[in-house]
Amino acid sequence: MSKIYSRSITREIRKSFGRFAAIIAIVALGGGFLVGILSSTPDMKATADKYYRDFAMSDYDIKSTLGFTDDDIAALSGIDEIDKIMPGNVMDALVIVGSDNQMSGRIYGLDLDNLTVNRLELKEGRMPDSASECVIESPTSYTEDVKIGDTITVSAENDDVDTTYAHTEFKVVGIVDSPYYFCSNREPSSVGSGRTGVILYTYRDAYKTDVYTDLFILTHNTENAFSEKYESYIEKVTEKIEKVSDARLAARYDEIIDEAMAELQEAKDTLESEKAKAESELDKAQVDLDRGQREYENGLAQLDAAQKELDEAKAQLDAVKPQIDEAKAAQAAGYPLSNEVLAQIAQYDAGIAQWERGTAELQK
Amino acid sequence: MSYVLFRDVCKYYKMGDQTIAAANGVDFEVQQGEFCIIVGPSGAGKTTVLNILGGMDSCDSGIVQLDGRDVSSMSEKELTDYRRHDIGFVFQFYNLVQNLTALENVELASEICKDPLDPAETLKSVGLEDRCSNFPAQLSGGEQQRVSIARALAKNPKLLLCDEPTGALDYNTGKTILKLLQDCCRTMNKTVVVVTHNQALCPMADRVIHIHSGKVASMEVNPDPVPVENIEW
Repeated sequence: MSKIYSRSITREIRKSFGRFAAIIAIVALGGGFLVGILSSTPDMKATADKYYRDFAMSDYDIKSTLGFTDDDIAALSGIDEIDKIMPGNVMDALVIVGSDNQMSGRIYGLDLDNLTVNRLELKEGRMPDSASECVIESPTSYTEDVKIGDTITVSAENDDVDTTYAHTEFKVVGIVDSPYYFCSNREPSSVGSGRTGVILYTYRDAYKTDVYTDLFILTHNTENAFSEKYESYIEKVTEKIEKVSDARLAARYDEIIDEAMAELQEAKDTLESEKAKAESELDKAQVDLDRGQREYENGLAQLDAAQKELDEAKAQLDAVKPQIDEAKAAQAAGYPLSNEVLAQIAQYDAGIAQWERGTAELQK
Repeated sequence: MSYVLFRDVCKYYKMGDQTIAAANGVDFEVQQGEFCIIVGPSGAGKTTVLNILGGMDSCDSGIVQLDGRDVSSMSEKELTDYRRHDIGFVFQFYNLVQNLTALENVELASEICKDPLDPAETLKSVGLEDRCSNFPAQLSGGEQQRVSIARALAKNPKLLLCDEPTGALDYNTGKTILKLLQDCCRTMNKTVVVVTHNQALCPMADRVIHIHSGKVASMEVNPDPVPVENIEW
């Protein structure tokens, strides 16, 4: 710039310094304002992204109505981009807070001692010691007013309470923040009013089922969560997961069908074997019955034979009775009896007694 | 070989779907050291011709030459150099920089060209040696126009173009300005082209070009120009 030209500019500025200062101030203000506005979006994105990172927010929450097994986790672990997989059980259920305040609740059954994904930040109280205690998500204007110390009971109105839950009563011991619910939005629920009233986290022991309903997956992603690079990254990983998913879905379906079929087969087998056993027992019983019948008939014949013998014996005794009576009368009259006669009398008495015994036995 | 040459120069302006021919085949030439007056009624295309000659506008067709160089085919950048080094321009309303003194205004022009004259000397030659340190606002119209002429002369241009230089001045002041231009032409051997609508000025020129409706109506060479002092209008 030439000397004279810069002199002209300096003079212009000096002559109208107020205007110059005002223009500078307006430009500075405008520039500052623009910079502020332009930087707020990246700042907000960076802040949210840092929060996600700090609390290991899941890139995926995969749900399955068939349930996940350890095989599924192993299959997903084979994808290079996947860093961590945290299984858990998540179900919406009607719950009763206190004595009669019914609402819809979301019950997370997680390994609270080892949260690798979606780490919880304790805001108040303490973490649960057992599956009979729980922490709840920080209440927002959309959730119900549940406090530390309240007891949350799974309502008996829910389906399959006995087979689903090992614990149905949870004592609230703390309040947490989860990156999964980072904004205060209305959280839709599959039960009740359709609005989740309380979100609670407890140990997985609270559930009886041996399969997981949810897999929370963290990838190795290093891009900002709001960038297009992240979206294309996730798209790529999604394709891989879907490939695994299709295979596992079929496998899991077969597994369940096989399980059911095996159970059915077992029941059928049991039926068959029980039927066979029953039949063989029935046959045995018939044989026993027949034998009994025969024995009975034998017995009857024996009895008849015995009766005949007894009758014959009686007839013999009756035949000798007059002589014995005579001998006894003579004895009574004081006639001495020869030893031979005495022996005959004793024999007779013994015969009578034997006959009576026989008759009595026969009667029986 | 003429110093300034216009050959069949056309310039059209588009106004909506209407095309107006501001210059419609202009042909003329000016020799070196001549005092040339381009005269014609308002709207005849005088200023268009001057702007094309001064490199401030381009022609749509035809040839424009100054000192053997083809102006009509120059690029924007070449035109800038052309304006800077070869042309001195004097405007009807002076166009002085208000924040600079008379001397500084002349220095401003001399700083940017190749072979300038001394600014103070030039100011002296236009009779303003006493007003060097005055700002334009402190000068009369005639004085301002003289600063403007000094500014154009200080660049030591090949061609001095003046667009109605007396248009904003009264009779006497106008006369002195015209005298100054005529003297420049005579003493410094500058080629001067003056555009005016005042027919009365024609006798003072070496060459008079009449322009009418974008065309050169007539061109006459005046072998015996009259000094300005002897012209009345």
